[in-house]
Amino acid sequence: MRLDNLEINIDDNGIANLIINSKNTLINKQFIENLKKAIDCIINNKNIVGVIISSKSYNYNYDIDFLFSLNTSALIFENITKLSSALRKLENIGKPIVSIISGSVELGGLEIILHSHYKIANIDSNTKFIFKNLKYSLSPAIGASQRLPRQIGIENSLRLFLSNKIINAKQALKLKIVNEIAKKDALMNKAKEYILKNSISYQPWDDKKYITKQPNPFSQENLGYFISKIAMLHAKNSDHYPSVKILISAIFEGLNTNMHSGLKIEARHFTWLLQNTETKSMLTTLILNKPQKELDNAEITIFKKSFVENYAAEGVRLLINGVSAALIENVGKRLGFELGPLATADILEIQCIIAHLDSTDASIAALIRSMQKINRNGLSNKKGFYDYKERGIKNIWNGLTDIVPPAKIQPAIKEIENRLLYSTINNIFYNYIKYSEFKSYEMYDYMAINNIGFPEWTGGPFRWVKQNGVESFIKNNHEYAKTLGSRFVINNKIINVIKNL
Amino acid sequence: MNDALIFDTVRTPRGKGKKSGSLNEVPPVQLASKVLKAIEERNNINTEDVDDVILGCVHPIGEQGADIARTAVLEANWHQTVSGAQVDRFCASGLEAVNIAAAQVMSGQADMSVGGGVESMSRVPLGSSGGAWMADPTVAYNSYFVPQGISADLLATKYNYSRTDVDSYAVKSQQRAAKAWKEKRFKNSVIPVKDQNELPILDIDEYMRPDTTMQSLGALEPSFEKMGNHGFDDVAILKYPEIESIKHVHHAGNSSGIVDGAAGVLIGNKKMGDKYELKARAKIRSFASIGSEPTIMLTGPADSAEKALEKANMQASDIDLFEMNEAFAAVVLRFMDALKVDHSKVNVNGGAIALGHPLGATGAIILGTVLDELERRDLSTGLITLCVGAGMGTATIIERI
Repeated sequence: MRLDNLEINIDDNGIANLIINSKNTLINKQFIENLKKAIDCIINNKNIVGVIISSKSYNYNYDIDFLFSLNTSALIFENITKLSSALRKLENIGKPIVSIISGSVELGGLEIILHSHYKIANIDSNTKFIFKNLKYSLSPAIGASQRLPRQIGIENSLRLFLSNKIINAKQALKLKIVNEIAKKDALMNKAKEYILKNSISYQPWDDKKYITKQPNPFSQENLGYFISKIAMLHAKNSDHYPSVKILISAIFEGLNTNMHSGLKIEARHFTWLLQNTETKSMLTTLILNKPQKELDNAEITIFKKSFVENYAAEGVRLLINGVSAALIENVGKRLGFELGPLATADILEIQCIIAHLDSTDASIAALIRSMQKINRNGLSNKKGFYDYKERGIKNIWNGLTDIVPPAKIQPAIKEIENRLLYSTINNIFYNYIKYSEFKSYEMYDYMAINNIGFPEWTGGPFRWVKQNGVESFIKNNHEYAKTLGSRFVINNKIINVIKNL
Repeated sequence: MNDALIFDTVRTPRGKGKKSGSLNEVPPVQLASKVLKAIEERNNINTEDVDDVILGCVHPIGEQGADIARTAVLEANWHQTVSGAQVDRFCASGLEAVNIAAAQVMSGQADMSVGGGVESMSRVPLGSSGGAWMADPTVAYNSYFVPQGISADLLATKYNYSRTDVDSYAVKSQQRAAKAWKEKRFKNSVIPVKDQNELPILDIDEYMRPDTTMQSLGALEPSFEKMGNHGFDDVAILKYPEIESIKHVHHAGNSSGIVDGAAGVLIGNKKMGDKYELKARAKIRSFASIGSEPTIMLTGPADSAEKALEKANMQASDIDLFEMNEAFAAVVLRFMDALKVDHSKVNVNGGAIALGHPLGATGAIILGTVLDELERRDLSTGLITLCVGAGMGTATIIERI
């Protein structure tokens, strides 16, 4: 039987070989339909004694265009569970299912491999399990969040899903991702050998003969792990990267029950995640709109300098306006900037702020000068807005409040977030007009995220403005410009660009 | 509405909540049933007249599981018609149980009930019941969960209580508790724990360290710094971005002690008082529970106290003595500042820092403590309150008759 990129051959012993043609494999409607058909065909054939799944490589990924075309929760859930139920059926028919693994294995491929009972990896150096931190993308949809922790443990699974590790066949064996490694020529025979030796085969979690060694999230050991891991992940990723939360939630909730419910739990989380604004923004900018050609390095350098200095300057302005230093710094970090604006000013040397001041900023110039007078120039001499101690420890300089006392009533966090976002976005827009109006704004969004440090979850400044409403962006800027200065004035050229996003 | 009259308050002494603690060998159901037996004997009541026994218990699993209140009723050999219910409002469970018993009487649905609590922290350890609040990633993320010790340090940081402030408070608690024991101020409520042969096991709160000084406390390492460094401080700061870094000021010496214990309060209406010729020592004026911001978690006592005061049509200045559970020193300092109450009126016989905090029982214990002290000083009104996990507070106001 042959279906586009799938092929089933059955040998004289009744062993079926399901071959997935791996060229440019995207998991989309056609792939799901075909795989489901192939699996149904295998399940309905009583003569088949076991199944070998093989592919030259398993670098499958989700087809984002396809996923975005599923415009209701019901459609997403239906399509995802169609595939995961088919794999689940195959996993649980009682006949041995073996995967032969070669080439690159990416998340989509891993999800398919994991349902097989026995996994044999090609020992050669081309076999690679490629993990990409799923913080900026999607969490598993068709079983990996359920099968991998049951197979290799909760801790190892989470570590891999949230890393950018590349694992070779030997390491995969050590981690128990695969059961055996073999040379290329021996793979098929070993797979057949397993099938002929095991006429009945189940996954450990389905095997009625053995006690399941499924990790229990509420065991004393795992409970402590979850409680502290949640905090670490939340702290590290703030509130803007929901796929991390979705992943650990799917693992936690799924491992409190069986595979049948676990797969539904995972699919429901995935369905929510795919419709999340931040996820959509990141997938759009980082995957769908990823530029085909290299970006101009010289331009990036100029651009980055302007962006970072501007971000630092807005922090100093907030400080002068009476916002407490801790609040400024924490709001900046919470937004997803690598550092707070004042820490950034220290790295750049506080002198850099001067270049960004206008006539209304006399008090900022005075602050910078008075700090310079007492040698608080920045990180280079370990004194700036912060005091720098050993081992990377730093504290906000406690003399700062004497020069710029914080206001009794602090502004709302949203207000500070807006100031930092609007001022940096406006800076990017002006640079866009100035240097590269001829380029696509999608490319600028990509560059802003990938090269200059604008927060990933936004999908880039253009995407963020589009998402949050162009009219309100223009109106708010207009309001800010009245009291806060010219950096909130956006000219007609920019207005024209963003109105046509 | 009927008056909910307090006839008696009984508690066990508090044993150190570890394997070497004196009450470790006593199962929690025995601690609870000993309290019930004492209530029966001291008041000479026919237990058929008791409608319900409500017991607070924060870790209702293992030997504290399966409704320990009803189990204790059976073990105390009370009449089979006495029902039992276990309740959990974390650290205020014991007071909540009293409030429920009072509500039954006030509403006329019970003539006499017992509210109390039990916790054997040496046998059923802290945290052993798990829970979605801290372990379910969705819930923990969405509620910015941090362990209570981090909340206490966050509270101290936000409201500027220094290590010296919290340590000074702790020393005072020890001194007051030692004096109270020396002057036998707890004698009305405390029953010695004996075994089945009437052999004595414990007759004093054994957790106390009367010789505590600023120097001895100064030597203690902060308890929550390490856990704070592993993500929890950052989660707290995500919620409270005005804070640069959390100062870890709490340690074993200025936080509540882990102990075993049980307590019960006999509450009834006038009819029961007349029938058994029981002196109504006080009545419940009002009670209230309230939710507060869950990450800082421990600011609920002032809110619940204000809510209860409002229900009683009273002001903080109308209260003669306060019992505010000493979960952590900063919590009491914040409570006193928020309500503008002087320390001379609060926890006058020390508190859980010196005496220990058997989670499910403490609320009922400190209600007895304040009532005994009101009688000793011949004062009238007392307010009992506790901070509660996940951001809550519970308070009860009593008035002597």
